[in-house]
Amino acid sequence: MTATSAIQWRSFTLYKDGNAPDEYEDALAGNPASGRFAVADGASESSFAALWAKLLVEGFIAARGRTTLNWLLPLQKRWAEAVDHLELDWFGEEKREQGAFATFLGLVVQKAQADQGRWRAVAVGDCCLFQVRKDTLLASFPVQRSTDFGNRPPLLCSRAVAGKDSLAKAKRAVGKWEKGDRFFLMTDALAEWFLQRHEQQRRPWESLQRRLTDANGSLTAYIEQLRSQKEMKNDDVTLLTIGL
Amino acid sequence: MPFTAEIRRNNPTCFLFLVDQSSSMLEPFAGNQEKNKAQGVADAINRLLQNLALKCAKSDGIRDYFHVGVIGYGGNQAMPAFSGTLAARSLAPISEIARNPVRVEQRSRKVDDGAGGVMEQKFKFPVWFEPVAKGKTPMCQALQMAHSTVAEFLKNFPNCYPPLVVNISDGAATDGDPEKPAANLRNLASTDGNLLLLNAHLSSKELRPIEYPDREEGLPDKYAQLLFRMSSLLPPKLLGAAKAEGFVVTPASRGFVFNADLVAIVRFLDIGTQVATTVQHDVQK
Repeated sequence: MTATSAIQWRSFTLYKDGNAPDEYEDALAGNPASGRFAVADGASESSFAALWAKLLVEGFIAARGRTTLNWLLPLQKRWAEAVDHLELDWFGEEKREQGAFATFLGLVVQKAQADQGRWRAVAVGDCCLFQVRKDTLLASFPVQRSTDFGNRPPLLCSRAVAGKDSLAKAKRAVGKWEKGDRFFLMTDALAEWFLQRHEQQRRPWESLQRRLTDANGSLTAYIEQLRSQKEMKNDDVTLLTIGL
Repeated sequence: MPFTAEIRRNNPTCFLFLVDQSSSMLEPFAGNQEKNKAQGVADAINRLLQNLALKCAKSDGIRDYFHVGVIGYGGNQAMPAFSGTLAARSLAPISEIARNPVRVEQRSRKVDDGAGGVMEQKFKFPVWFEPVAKGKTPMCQALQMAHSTVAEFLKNFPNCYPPLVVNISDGAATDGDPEKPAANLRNLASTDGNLLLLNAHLSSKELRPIEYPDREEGLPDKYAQLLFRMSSLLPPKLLGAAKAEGFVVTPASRGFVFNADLVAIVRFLDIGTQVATTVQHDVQK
């Protein structure tokens, strides 16, 4: 957990059941001082995806200005520098050549006054942002319905050739926030469950918030239960919450 | 709903290939005098194995989502067809197969250089199978061997994603009517659904490829029709995946292709977020 007087934020991660902890391929990062936050989800079928997801979120946090994707090219270079010299088997070489892939969501919270301001978000793929005000889900970006999730989302590629296309796939959103609002950033499995619950007129943000803040760490047990009851897809889970 | 079991390392699924190695495979492939059907088969199987391995390849190695076997049929019998360290194995984890090709060729291909031009890129191309063509076509025997191999796998993994059996042939069995052993094979099932039997028909005829047709009328010959009848209906989950890949399918579509390859079937399998790449074969030595 990280906190400053400006923006309170917390995070939670859980690796896919059946995988080892170090096979977790999501990533998250936040900087409450600059109001920049990001989550990413490395694609299971690509290699060196965890590294790519990490570079994406850290690159977004370190970047300045608006939510354009012009920070992507140096990250592709850093990814290549980290993997291109490695000695690999034929399959490792081929996967490296294809590049790593990840979905991504970045959020910038801007303060106009102490108790209100604007936010901007950029997304490629199905990492999601939800804005909650009191008991209402105010914004859902970039996915609005739980049925819109699939296993072939748009992806950001670590190789420049495929990466050119990724830029066109980016979606953007802007909005306003007020004091007391909460933002939930999450990767796809949790986001799909979140939207399903909301579609059933329930308040998934309360379940998450309560378990995230309790001292026993009950969110892990809760997600394991949802997975075993097939209410949530078995996948890496990443949650980042922001309180304003 | 069938075909929803999660494919994971402690609950892998099985991929078994049946490969026609009879003398009729010496005939030209799809009217191409430069290439015979045996070469067409070897290409098909090498590409399928390569793409299966790549699907499971991660930075730290290969994850064993699949157990894979190859049964060759030619001469007078059907038998496991891997050579080298995998010889005589009817099924092996995909990681072992990936690490044990017969040889790895150095090839090159032309790729986009990212700046509007084209550049030549070297890459490694694994080969597990050489073209073989001799003797008869004991396809029934191969289907029976597939039955016992998959039945054994199902004992160990009764809840697996349904096994897939891919038969690559010109369809002319010499040891009886293969429809019956094919039906027996399709009756095998895990708790997640029945085994899928897919057929790739390689013909000498120079005809356009046909993919996942929904009726036997209009197929080029009796062998294509036979292999079509032997093929499983594509279940709804796979129909959806096939549609997403741009194939024109209907609820009556079957797992049958004519003078085409089945590499796309590898992409139909869900082991997590997919990336839109499979390795193409239009490469130069």
